[in-house]
Amino acid sequence: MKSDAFEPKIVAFCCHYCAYASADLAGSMRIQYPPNVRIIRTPCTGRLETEYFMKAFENGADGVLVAGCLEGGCHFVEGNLCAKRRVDYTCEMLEEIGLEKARLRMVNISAAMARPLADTITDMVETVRNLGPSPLKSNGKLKQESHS
Amino acid sequence: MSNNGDKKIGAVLVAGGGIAGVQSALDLANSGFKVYLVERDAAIGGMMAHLDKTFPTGDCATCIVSPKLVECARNLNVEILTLSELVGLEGEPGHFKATVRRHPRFVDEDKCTGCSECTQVCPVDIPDEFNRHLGTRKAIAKLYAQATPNIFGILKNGHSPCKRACPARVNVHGYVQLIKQKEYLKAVNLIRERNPLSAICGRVCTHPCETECTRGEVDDPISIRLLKRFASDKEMEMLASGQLTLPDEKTPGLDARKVAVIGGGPAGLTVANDLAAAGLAVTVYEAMPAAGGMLRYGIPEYRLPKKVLDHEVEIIRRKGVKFVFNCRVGKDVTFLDLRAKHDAVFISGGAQKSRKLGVDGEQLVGVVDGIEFLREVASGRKPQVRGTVVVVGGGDTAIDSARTALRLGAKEVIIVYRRSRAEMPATPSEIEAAEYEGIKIRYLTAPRRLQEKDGRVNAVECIQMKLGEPDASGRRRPVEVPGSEFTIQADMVISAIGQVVDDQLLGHIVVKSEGGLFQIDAVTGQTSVEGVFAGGDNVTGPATVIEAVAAGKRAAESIGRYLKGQDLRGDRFEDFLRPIPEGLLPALDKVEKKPRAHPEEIALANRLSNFDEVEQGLTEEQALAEAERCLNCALCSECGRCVEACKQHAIDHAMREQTVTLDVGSVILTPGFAEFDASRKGEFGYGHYSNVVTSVQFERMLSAAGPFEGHVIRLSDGREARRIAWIQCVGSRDATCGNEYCSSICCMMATKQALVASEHIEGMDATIFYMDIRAHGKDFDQYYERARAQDNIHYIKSIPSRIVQLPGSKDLRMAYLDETGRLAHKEFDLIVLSVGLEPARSMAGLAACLDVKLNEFGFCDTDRLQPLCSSRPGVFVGGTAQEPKDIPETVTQASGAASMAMELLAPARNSLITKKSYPTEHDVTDEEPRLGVFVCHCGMNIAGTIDVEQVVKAVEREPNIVVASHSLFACSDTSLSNLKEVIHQHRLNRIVVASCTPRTHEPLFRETLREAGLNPYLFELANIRDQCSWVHSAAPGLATEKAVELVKMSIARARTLWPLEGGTLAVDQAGIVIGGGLSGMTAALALANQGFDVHLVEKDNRLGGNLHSIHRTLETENIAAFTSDLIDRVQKHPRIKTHIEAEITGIKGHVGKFHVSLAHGGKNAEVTGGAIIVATGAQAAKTTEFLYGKSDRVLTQVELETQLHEKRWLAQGQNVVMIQCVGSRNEKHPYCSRLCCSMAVKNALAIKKLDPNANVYVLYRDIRTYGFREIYYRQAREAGVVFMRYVPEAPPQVTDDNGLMVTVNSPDLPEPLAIEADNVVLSTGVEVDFENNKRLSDMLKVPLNADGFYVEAHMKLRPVDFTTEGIFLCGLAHSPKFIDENLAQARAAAARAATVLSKTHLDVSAQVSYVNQQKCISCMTCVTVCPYSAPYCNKDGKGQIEAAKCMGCGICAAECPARAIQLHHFETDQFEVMIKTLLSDDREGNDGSGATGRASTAHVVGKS
Repeated sequence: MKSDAFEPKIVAFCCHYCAYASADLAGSMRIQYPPNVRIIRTPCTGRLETEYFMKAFENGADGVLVAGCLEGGCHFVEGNLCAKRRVDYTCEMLEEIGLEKARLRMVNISAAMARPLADTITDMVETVRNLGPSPLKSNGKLKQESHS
Repeated sequence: MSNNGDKKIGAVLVAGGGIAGVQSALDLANSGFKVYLVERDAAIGGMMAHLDKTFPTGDCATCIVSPKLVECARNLNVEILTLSELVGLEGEPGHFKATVRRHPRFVDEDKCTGCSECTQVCPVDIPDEFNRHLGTRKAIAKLYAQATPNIFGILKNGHSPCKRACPARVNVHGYVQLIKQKEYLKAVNLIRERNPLSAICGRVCTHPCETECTRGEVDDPISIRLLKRFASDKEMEMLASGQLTLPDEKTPGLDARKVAVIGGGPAGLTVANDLAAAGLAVTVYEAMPAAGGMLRYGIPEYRLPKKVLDHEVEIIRRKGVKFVFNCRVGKDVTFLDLRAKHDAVFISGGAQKSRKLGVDGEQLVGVVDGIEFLREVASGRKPQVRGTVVVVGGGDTAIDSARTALRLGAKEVIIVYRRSRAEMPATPSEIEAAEYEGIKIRYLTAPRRLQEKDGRVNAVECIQMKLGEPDASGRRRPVEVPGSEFTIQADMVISAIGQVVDDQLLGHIVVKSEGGLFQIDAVTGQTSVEGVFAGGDNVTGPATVIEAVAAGKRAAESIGRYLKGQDLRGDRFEDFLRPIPEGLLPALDKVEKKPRAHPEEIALANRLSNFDEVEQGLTEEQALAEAERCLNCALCSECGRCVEACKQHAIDHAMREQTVTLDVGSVILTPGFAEFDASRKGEFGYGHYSNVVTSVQFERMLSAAGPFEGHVIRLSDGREARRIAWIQCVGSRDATCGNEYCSSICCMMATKQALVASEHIEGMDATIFYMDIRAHGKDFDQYYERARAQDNIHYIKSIPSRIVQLPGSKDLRMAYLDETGRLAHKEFDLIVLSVGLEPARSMAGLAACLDVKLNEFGFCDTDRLQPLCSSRPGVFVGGTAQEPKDIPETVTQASGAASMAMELLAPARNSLITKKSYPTEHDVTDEEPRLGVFVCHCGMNIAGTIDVEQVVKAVEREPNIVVASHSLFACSDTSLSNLKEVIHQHRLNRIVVASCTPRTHEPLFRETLREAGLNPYLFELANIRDQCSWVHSAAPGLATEKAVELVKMSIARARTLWPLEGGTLAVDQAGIVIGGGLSGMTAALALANQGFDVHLVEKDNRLGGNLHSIHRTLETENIAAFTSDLIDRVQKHPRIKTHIEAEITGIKGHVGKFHVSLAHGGKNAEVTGGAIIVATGAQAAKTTEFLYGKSDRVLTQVELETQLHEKRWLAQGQNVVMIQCVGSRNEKHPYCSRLCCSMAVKNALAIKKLDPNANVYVLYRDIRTYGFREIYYRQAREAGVVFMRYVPEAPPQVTDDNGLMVTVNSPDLPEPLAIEADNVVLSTGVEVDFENNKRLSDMLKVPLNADGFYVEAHMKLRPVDFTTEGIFLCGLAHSPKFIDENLAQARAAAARAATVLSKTHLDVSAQVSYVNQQKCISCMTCVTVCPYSAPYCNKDGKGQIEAAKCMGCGICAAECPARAIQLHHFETDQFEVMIKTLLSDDREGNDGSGATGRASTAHVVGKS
């Protein structure tokens, strides 16, 4: 079943009005990108708590992508700027615990930017593939073992 | 606007579905009116849907417009009529009857699911008009990827010339396209729909289709006949190789009606084929031993092999046709007998008898009749042929006889024909072939006598002919040349001068005949005897195969109808065969020439000793190249592939145009604009040079969803363009093309395009060639300055002269006159022509139908003081149909026009709207989750990549799943009804659908849940199409795995969903307007006219504001009368309560109920209302520059206007210098005040009118007389006003040392110029009362920009809204603008307010945030972060959220440090369960520890 090659698993949080719409457009345009990414829809990236990014890593994500509206173009005025702050903050935290900060990335994508979104996803998958599996995967397991 | 009981119609027709129409429609529908939104195109969205980004905010146009379009489509009270146009309007305001023509879409809007299967199989590529011909689209397509409505449509352009030229109307275009797709069998089947003799006609047809082929106008017609042969031969090859088998033999039912066909030639075979296929019992009575008629016994084998004929006869026979051979009617059976035994008879006995030569010696041995000769050969007998053969005649029979004689051993064959080559009826290619084979043809030669020797013919005595006058056939009659007799030696003579109907046949059949031919009805093919039909050569005389087939088709149709007792005449195929409309043919001069395919032929040496087929078919390569040459001039080819692909059976090629009549109270015209046709400016080479594009094309290039996905390339070589130029005013400010006006938006559009392109292209260098930069809108100048500050964007004030394309590189060399008037050159990779705006192409027709006046430029004529009214009462206008303008003004006018309609129809509000009622919701709070999972195939869109059944299997055993199934289209009507049933049957309480995107389909499914009695929030959609099957089609296995995970994630989330109920809040149906100037008064009147009570609050001691200082405008002399009338109407209106000298001291509340505290000369009062309109205005700016205040001869424009008005100015002097942009467009006031240029022009013209000798100088930076105001700028120049430019770095100097003196250092002049001035007039612009605005904005909790103007919710699409619901904005408080613009904006604010005030209760969204009071730590972070001021500190000192204000973004929830806030439907545990589920499988796979924690995620969260 499982091939030896490492296939990263990436969770992408996409805002309803822009990034999610561009992911749909990528579909209409039949743009191909690696299937390693799973999209979770959020009304606004401003809804995303720091905790969600951490939860994703704890549960075994190798990378997390946050995609919001273009700066200045947020449907909810400046939710994407709030998200950017939280992503930056989480990146710092990741570094502190020894996780490469390239595993968490925020991008600004408009509803028409299907190709840039696909490119971002492709690039993210490649970046994370090169980084290798998230060290938290085994850490998480170790922790569980030590707790039990 | 009386309400005297005359019943007005509460519906409005909005003509034009661009952003203006959409805005009008939404405002009207959301305030109680039924709307018909009539759009000419296949989708709404207009020009905005074409744009990439918008200025000055850089928003993605699609992002902002799509939600509006979707909202429009979902609104129950907006009926969108696409592909429709308003063609008539009768009646009076309040009750019109509108006539709307609806063009066919050829796709059933109710059935189409937008799945795109059709477009994938369509063979026809046509230029994509949406992308302005950058790229192609299919004939069946959506207008654009995100089109609303999300359905497909077919573009047709009448019927192709080839099809119309074919007597049998074979769909040539269709089968050529199928061949292009290598669908050979489908091609043959399509041919056989109209012609059962496909392989035969592929060989012997005279192909009139080719004569008419449009490609013939480019190079050569398409080789249609050979394409038909190619497809048919492929079918035979496949049969021979066993890849294909013939259909089973059918026999007609015992009770089938009986039809006799006399004669098994092409006409008879066609009738037999069609009627047998329809289930009738057909018997063909044939005199000869085999079927085919002339096909078998007339056409030699080397042209039509018998096996080809046998093949097609066999196909016909298998349909259930019975053949009786060797049965001659009149000899072996009588006609009356046949008639008695059958229900109908078709006579197609042909014209089998040769005409006699009528010369002496005709009876000699060695003289044979051509038809007889060919029949002998065809029957397998070999007549003796030797020596010299003379063939008499010029038709195909003559040629066939000659070539046959040659093959049978003749030494020499000579054809004698009495006319010239031009009159020869034989097929030209046949004549050529005969000559090639060595046959001699003697033209203008007629036999007079055949000479005898030894009992045999041995010579033909001939005479030379010449051509005389035309005879009855139209051909010139041959006349003998006296004394020109001569003799040709001949061993055999074949006479082939024509055929006639056998008189034996004529004699036995009792129907009417004339001149040896049966008489029939031209439409039905019926003879003089009912039930007896005829066709083919025995009706027409000798004619072509395809004509016989056509006759057969006609008769078969009639016989079918006759036997069913139907009308024989009406609704024939012919009746709806429309030609291609003139002017719609493809641009033939741009088509690349490609040679026509020619088939191989057997070498001469190898052909004369046998009857092998001479002409070979096309090779596959040739055939494909040939099919590719088709120009698709009819657009859709009707090949039928879409019909076959559409699983919803939504496609109907037979749809016709319809006309509907609608009862409406009012009409709003929003047809938008058309781009100027850049090819009219030949000097720029558009259309000739591929690297010259229009600004709209460039916009499509920039668009990530466009044809090049955002890459800016040169069309000549696909290379990225680096050096790009924009030429402004192409088709604007240009009297030579009739467009003297300014198009208003192009300067900003070019600036935006340059800025956006610099983001796309590294190292891009932009040059904008302009006359004046008109950045007159709100925040535009700042945007322009930003672009100007960039190193790689250059603005050159210039007059462009021409563009030349450099050979080789195809770079473009642009010549222009620079600002000093010198000729300069510059080279570019790409040049963008900023094309101006013209009236929509439909505007003239629309105006004529509606009896609405147009102005001199063809835009809708309006008055500056009635900017929303057309010349016809009750018909309003908005957007670019009125004047070129940008999006915010368009949207504003659209809302304003909606207000006009609301005022007119106020009594009929809510009379025609639809409200849907739903069953009582089933209470699920105490139930365990019972889930239904429905996976959609979306035709092949999902199922083609993802193994849908495997997905169902993978999830059906998940906990709580009660039902898991899959369906072809989850969104089809049937599936939705089924969903409702299943919900009831299994008492489901959570639904998961795995299909497409929630953005388009969630509302539909939620609606279904509501109809089934479930709360709509118990629904979850897994997007396995747009975000899975479509983007991973290359990896179906992984796509299936991913789909399973996505569905599992949705299931996990669905378990945690709970029912949500949005609240309602009561609306105080009164409006509060702050500010009693022009805008405030207009807004108040608009609301009051709509029937709402209004509080109008003014801080001054009188109404009118700035109006009191305006005396005239460019267009209107008497503003004072307008002002006093307006004030009078406000003061007298019973619904308006005016509060003069009232200070606002506090504002509380929210949408639906605001409390405004007022202080009135020491007394306090409170007014309440459901909506607030802010119209606090602005005023003329003050200045201390240019000696203002120091010299009384230095005035402001306002002061000058007053002096002029009061006739005080006259004495002042002769030299007037006006200085523009005083205190504007600088660091302190970075904005443009918009009005001042026009004001200077207005006052300059007034001075010139008073004293033509006065010298007026206008010192300016850019003259911004946009739109139609440009005309006055021109008038001023013509009147002698001198306009001189200055740059801000070197402003004019004003001194008063020795009299008033102005020195200007203009870049247009070689050296500084000093002007002695009698007056200096300063254009000081507009500024707000910052302090006052600040105080009010704090109370309203709405933002101000740096200049003190209020900031609207969205600059483009919500120009009069605030982000805070229920508060609206208009007038100068928003930004500087003219009277007409203020009037429109004030009405827009009123329309927007009416969407609140028209309701007794407002629905509050259920997807709002809420605070857990126990957890709240009173930090009030939520209050700080919310962009909508929804959270507040409640009486317990805790945060609480005003649901009415909450927009559901969840920013507060994420920011709350105590985690006390949650956003309904997007709760933390819902996110967490999704994350966990998505990743759990992975851990399972990796460590094999099995399901971890999945059961624990399956819990129900009760409503807290």
